[in-house]
Amino acid sequence: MIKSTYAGLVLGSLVLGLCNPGMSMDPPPQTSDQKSDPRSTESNHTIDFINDLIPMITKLGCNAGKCHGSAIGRGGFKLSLYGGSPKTDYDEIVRRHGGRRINLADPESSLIFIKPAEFIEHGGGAVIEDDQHSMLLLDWIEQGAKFIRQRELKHIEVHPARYVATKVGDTTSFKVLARYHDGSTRDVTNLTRFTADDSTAVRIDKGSATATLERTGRHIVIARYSTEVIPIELLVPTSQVAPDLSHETRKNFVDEEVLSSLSELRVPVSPILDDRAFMRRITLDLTGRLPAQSVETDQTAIDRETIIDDLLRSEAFVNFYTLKLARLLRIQSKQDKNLVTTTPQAARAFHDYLARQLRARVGYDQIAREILTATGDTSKYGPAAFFTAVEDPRLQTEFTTEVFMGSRMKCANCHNHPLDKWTQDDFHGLTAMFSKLTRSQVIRLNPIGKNIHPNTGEAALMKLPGGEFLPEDTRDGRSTFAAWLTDRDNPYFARAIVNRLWQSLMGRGLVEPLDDFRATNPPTHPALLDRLASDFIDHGYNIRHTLKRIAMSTTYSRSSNPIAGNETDGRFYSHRVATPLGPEVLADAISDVLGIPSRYGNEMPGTRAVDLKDGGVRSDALDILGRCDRSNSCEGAPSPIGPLAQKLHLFNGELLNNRIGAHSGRLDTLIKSQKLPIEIATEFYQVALNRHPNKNELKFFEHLFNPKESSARQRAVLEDFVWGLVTCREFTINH
Amino acid sequence: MIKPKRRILTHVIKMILLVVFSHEAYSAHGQLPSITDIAFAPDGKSLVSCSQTGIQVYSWPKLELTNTARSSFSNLKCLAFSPDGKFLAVGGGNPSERGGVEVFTWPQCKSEMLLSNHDDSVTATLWLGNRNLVSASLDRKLIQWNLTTQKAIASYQGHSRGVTSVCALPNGEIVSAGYDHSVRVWESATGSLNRTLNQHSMPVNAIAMCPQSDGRPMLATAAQDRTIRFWQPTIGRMMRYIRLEAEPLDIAWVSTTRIVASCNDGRVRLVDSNNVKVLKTISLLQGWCYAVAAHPNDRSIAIAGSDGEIRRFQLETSP
Repeated sequence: MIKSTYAGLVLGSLVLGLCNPGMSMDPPPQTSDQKSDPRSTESNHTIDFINDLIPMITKLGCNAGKCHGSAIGRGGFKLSLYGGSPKTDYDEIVRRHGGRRINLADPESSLIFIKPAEFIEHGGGAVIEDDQHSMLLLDWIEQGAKFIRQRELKHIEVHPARYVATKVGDTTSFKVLARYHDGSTRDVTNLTRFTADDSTAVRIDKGSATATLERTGRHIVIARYSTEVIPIELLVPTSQVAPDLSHETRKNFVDEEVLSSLSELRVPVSPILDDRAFMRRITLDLTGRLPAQSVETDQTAIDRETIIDDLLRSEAFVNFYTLKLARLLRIQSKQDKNLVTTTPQAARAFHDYLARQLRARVGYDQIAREILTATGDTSKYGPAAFFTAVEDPRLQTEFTTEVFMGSRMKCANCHNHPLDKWTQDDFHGLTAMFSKLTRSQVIRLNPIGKNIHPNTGEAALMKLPGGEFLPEDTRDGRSTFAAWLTDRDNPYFARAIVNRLWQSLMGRGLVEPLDDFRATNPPTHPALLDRLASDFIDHGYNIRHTLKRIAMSTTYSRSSNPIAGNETDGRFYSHRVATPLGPEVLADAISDVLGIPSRYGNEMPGTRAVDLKDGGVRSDALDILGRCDRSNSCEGAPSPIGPLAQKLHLFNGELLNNRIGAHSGRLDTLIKSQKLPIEIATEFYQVALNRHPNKNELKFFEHLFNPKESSARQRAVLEDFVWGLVTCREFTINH
Repeated sequence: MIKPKRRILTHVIKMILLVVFSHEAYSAHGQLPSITDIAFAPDGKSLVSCSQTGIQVYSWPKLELTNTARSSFSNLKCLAFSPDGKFLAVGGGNPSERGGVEVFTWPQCKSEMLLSNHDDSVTATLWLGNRNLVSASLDRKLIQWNLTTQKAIASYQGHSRGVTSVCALPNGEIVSAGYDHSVRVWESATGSLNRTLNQHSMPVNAIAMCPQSDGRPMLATAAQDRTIRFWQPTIGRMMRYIRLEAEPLDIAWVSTTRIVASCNDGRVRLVDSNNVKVLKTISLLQGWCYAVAAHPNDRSIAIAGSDGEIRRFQLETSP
């Protein structure tokens, strides 16, 4: 047994250094007040469990989800995920099983050392291969394996937080500084874990904390020290030559931010759409409909602002954005296994409520407050059905935070969120609020309702996410939560909705997935997101205002056709991201083109899919087109007509084949009106694509439509033509 | 291959330093290893403890160190005196490598034999008469040994995780508990499993047999789910349970209706087993209370745990 640890260490270090000439004896980088090595040459240095040991364990990956950080641990040894709960980790390492993992009498016999160093078999292999880590661990045990936190971490700073390379192959080194509440700082680079989001694009050398960029574009590296996670943005321009974007029109801050980003990445922009294409795009985006009238090319240029204003004023806009909100809020009639029921009347009431609010231009903040604090009979007061959309209070927490905060708090049900700030207290504190409700057709306060915190086995106290606990005698915490959520300084609420609005017009969110806001999933354009959110708040949380702001930008008007140099860009808006039409929009578009409406359940004939008030209405057509089952989140972009079976149904099934040539349909009517096939084709082009056939297409049609053939044959050819038109990519996407 | 070389070198340095700074110091900063088990000598005049530093014998009630002994194992986990008081069985091992029981003569503390056939530390020992004993191990097995032949005569296999505690019923059945949340009742001679009691929702830390003499035998178990459960193991019935504010690590009966639980919050709780109420909560240690033992005569208890601490506490005289 050793009396004097430090004499041993100093001597040991000297001997090791002499015996291992390959070992680096270089001093680590210095900071203002302390060396980076936690077991630096200061003879009285005490190893800090929270600031030294836990980060080391995290860096080595021991507490990762695939190892001992999993929900049930591994090999009988359970650690909190990424060190989220140091106290329980300490107990597990030092105290559990009678302290078997630590041998104070002989530190080098400690299980916590000989396992990861693989002196005995270890399922995770040799994890500790670095002498510095071995010494740190052994020093800590020699010092008594104490639970010591010498200072409290305030935050970390990563340098560089953003790096713009000049070319593929460039390398940058990271330095991480920890700042503590006592004012001190420390270089903790060697205790920080760096993880590339895409390991094929960025190669990390853990030993030297350097990243080598191996692909063009924007890449994220996550630096994790203790409980802090910081994203590092790495940019590699796609070209060596910077395009001249100085002459591009900047109509508002959207263009300023997008062009600034493209300039940095040296990505050229696609040209602006012509009026016809713009008309089709904006009409589909704002109303979910094909444009009613074609814009003639020989007319003078249309006033796009007027078009946008007209669309935003229309009832079609109200209906389409009600549908979007209804999908977000998962409005559909259902009866689940726990008898948490949304009746068809409740679904309609909620849908009608949303439509009324949009029609009356009620601010989104007020809508959220009314929904979150709703009580009463769901069939009469629709917003109360928000609390029957999911089965239990914990799912309600997940649902609520995804909808109104764009944040996935689900992980924090079982452990502190590994990639975000959310703790179990946050999750169960919010759940405690929703536990005070009965979940039946009538939503009432239930004073005895409680949520058992899995850590304590006791009823969780109500708590605002990331904020304070509510007084124990709080009867209904929802109003406090709603006020906190819709406060103008709330960092989630406005950003979450403007990101969704941006995605609905631009095809891709600034944050993707839309419901996954977190520090480690930064927006592609942070400043743009901030400015959109501020602008939204400043204009009364007005959805129409933000949609117009985006639609009026030059960025929105860019063609979806890439040009040389921006073909690979899918995130920086150098060209429009073409998006498939949603199931309801496509169903209506097909009906409009064919002139034969679909029937939806027991709804009135002629009801449009976009106008359906209940997502649960039976419709084979919508199912074929990939309608989202609203029992779960519908945030993903619609698939291009769904999986293979759905596509085959569309191509070969009754949805089209029984309707294309149907009596009194558009084709039947045009044929009976004695129009020439080429005229019929041109009209279908205008209705479906909002354009005339081009020269090549006309030439093809002249060859296709042979006037010498029988009328039956000509009809068959026209039916094939219409089938081809409504299944072609140009029709089924908004481009 | 820096690692093995470095370890050898470190050992060399330690040997040099051992010559220079030879002391029975347990860590450089004075932190003592946790005491993992304690047991009163049958005459009640001594208390024996074990830890990573070996075996310590203290006078009772003064708690003065009177003797020490070293074991072949680096981690000692459990102690038990033979019914005739002539032997002390000490269980332990080297974690994840081997485990066994070392039998010492009492009171000389001279090593008599080593019974080692486990793949991990032995966590509990149980004497069956004066010449047989059972060892329970984190390798998931229990082994019954004959001390005369020093051979294993029965093996009890069925736990899916490590075994933490063992006791015997008056009918000769063996009861064990473990990290697999289960309490299992075994046929002593054959090692066959008679029944499994599954109500605990987390690993079980300890078992204690109630010292009652009539009626069905009753035992108590303490688990990480913070409960103490009272059972009639011969019919597999859980009679009642109590959930404490902290995790009970060890339990000991002080009468037929009172049980003490040493907990991971440094406190000891006296529980009435009939109406499952906590009668008293006493703060005794700074860290975890790994072991509690009831004195055979004087209604006092001993508590031991983190940082090598041992405390004595006198219970009130009425049961």
